[in-house]
Amino acid sequence: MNPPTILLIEDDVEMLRLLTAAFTKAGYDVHTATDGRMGMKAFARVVPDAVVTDIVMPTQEGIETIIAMRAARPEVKIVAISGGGRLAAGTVLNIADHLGADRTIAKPFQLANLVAVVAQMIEPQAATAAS
Amino acid sequence: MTPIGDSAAHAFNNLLGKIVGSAELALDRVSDPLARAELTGIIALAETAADMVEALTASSGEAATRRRA
Repeated sequence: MNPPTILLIEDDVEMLRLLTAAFTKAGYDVHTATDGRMGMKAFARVVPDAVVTDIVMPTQEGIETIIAMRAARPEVKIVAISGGGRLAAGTVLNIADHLGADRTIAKPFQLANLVAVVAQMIEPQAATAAS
Repeated sequence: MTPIGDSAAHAFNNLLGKIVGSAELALDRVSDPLARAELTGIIALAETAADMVEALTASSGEAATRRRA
């Protein structure tokens, strides 16, 4: 059985490396992009089970990317991450939530927590892949 | 404490996120109990720093209304 596929979109290459390491260790088939435009190309190519996207990025930001992905594939699981702060009132995270992100997580966060959130969202697929 | 702006909070939180993530991944590769305790301490300190960033942002009156990703 194929492992679950995840697309990570993050313009900070060091953060992208950390995210990649965490999801690779967790058994995911990991694909990456460093901005929303590249993310959309990868999204169409790999058809991921889940997407983790930063919000503020060059070329195409996360909000625009979330809207496009949600329009293309309503069923895909999307997590928006942000350095804007850890209060629930984070404006951009709230916007991401309203525009289609399934979950929003403020930086800093523990990688294990993010992996757990994604695993919970795609539980049926993940459980199938692990069997 | 002197309040900080939203963009500074954003930059700090991004940096703290990488500190937490790096320490977390290092934990996976280290078995020495003392080293693990130090790495766990780094994560806890980074989270305390994030709380401080939040407080500084809130004290500037921007926390609820001007957050950017």
